[in-house]
Amino acid sequence: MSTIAALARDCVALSPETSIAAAAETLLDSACEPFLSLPVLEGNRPVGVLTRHAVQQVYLSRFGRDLYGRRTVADLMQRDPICVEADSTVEDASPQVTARIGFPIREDFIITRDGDYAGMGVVVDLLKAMDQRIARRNQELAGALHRLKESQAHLVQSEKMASLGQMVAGVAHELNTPLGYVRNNVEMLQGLVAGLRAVADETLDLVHLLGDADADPDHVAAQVMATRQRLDRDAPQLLLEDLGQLLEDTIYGCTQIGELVSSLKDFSRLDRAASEDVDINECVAGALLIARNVLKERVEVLRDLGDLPPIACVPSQINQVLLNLITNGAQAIDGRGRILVRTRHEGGHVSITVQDTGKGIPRDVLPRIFDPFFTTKPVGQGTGLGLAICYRIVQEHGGALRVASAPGRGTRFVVSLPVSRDLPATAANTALPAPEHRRMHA
Amino acid sequence: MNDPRQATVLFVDDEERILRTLNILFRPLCRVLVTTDPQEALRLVSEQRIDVVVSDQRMPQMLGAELLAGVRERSPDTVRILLTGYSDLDAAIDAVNDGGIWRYLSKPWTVDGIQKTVREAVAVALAQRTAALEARDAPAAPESRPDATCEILVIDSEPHSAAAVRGIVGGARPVHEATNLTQAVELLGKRPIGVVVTEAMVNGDDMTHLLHTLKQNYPDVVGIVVTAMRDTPRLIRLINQAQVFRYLPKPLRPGMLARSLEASIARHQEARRSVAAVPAALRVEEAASEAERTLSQRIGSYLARLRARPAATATG
Repeated sequence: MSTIAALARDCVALSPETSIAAAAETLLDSACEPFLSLPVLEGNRPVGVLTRHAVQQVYLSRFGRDLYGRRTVADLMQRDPICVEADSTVEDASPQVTARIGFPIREDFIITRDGDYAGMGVVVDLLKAMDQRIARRNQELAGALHRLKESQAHLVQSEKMASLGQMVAGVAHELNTPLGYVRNNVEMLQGLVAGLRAVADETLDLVHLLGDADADPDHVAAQVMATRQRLDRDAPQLLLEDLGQLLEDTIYGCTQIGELVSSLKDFSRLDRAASEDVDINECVAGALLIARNVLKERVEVLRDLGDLPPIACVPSQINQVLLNLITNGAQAIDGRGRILVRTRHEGGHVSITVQDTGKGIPRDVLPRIFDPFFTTKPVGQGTGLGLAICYRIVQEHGGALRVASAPGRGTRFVVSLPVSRDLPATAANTALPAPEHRRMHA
Repeated sequence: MNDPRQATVLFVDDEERILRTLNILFRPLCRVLVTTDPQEALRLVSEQRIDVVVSDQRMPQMLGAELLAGVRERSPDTVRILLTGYSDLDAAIDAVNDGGIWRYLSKPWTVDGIQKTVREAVAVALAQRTAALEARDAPAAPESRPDATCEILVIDSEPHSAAAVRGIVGGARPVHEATNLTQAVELLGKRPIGVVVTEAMVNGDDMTHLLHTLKQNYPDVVGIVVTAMRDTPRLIRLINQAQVFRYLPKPLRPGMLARSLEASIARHQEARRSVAAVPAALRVEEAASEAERTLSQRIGSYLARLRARPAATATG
């Protein structure tokens, strides 16, 4: 922290008894050129300043020099000089000086140490020092803003990663069921094929024997028996009967796996930034498929999907909003419950309602749920950005996200999107919502 | 009676394609029942002798852990296996603590793996049944002090667990405390330990190996794992390789610990009578890696040297 002491300039001091003529001579000295005023001291105590302006006034008036030249500085000096303690900071000194300084500027300020004279300060120096400080402060603020933006982008990214991770884990587990029976079927079929090959070999031997006119009938009979036994042992009738079903199940399982993988791909598609004709019902179906992991065994999903026109939006972002609302709904339900997803086309808007039979949101919490970093989850189990990001995404689509909740009965979120409008520019928004938001009452 | 082909295995899963493929796979090996309905499964278990139940975890009507808890209530001798595609820690904890599962299998499985596990489960069920029948037919042995020999060993580098166990047991039975593996093995050699309460990791040693070796050599010792770690693969190893009886998250809740100790002591008493009938190779899954096997063997031979129980040499 630089203090006013750094601005102190050496200056010739006057005594109150000095004659005005002598003081005027001193002012003409080149050493005094930077100063608008000279300090007047009694001992080391400043008692006033003699301004160049006051001396000029005297000398410019008719006979001024003759009338006043022999008078003392004490008669002409400004008796209440601006004094600033040497150890005060530039920031503290600046308002003290500017509050006292007149216009036009006619005087300098006296720098004191414990009340004793320690040098003169010039207003221009003070201004320069202030300017430097402001520049430095601006730099610091710009740096802080940059760091803040970075950490905010980082948080938004980790929220994205968290929901992506949840989604991937869910779908990965979902894949294990079809993989389970597909693998079992294929392994059994592998065994069956090996058995069938052995049967084919035996049959071929039999065919050769039958074609051989010289073959011993007992040998032929033995080979018929061997073939028969091989068929029963390595390719049992029971398994052959199931073959068609096993193959059908296997193909079904592969289709299931394919659908899961493509829904995962569609869902997080960041390459498809914005599109003109998105079917919101498809987004809902995708989000429900992905959310199946959190819903499956205890939450019943009721779908009420209306006829919707295609709308312009960024589908991956709308998917993110839907997944977030559905997941929140499932998490609000202790034990078993229901989630209703309804879509409607009404007056230029498409609305998506996600309503749960969960525990509801307390009245005092409701106004804050869209605030960034607000979370009711334990530390480390949620960034508190989920709904804030949802809100922002919907807002950027020119839509509205509203909530109504009845504690103990459930919560309803309604996303409303305009059917036709300009597309949001980018999929990679990192900004957070403004604090104001619209709310709907239960 | 002891022919595996006479044994009945019930598979429960909400995906009928899973049931179809398992039915075809196991049909030649045993009697197979399948259902997508957990209520139906409970009814079947109540009505007839089912040796093994293999259940999915996530089903719309009921969780697998709940179903297996119901099976245990209705038919305690039925061997219970969870077959799941989700590695969900809470589900696994419930499956151990409430469902008392014998193995935790993951989807997708291999034909060899599931056949081996189910075959072993059937053998365990048949051996237990035989032992139970023999116990019923044999004249009741006069037991002067039925639970006098069941002492408790607590293994934890921190003193809280032992203090909690002492607080519950009081002076009723000796509670020993070990803060490392060497101390634990020494105490196991010297004292008639029936219940082991252990942290999952003690001073960097994975206690799964100790429990695994104990289970192989002294099948009547019951293991309770207490830990703050949330680690599903470790719990699955503890189930499959160490037959852990209870898995309690730290901080310990006294009520839960008390109930677990009581159940463990009862289990130990019962096991002293019946589990010895189950061949050692069937009790726990073989450790996966060479390093784990070496460690298990080391603990095992050390224990054998220290401990001269007749039952141990007969079955170990």
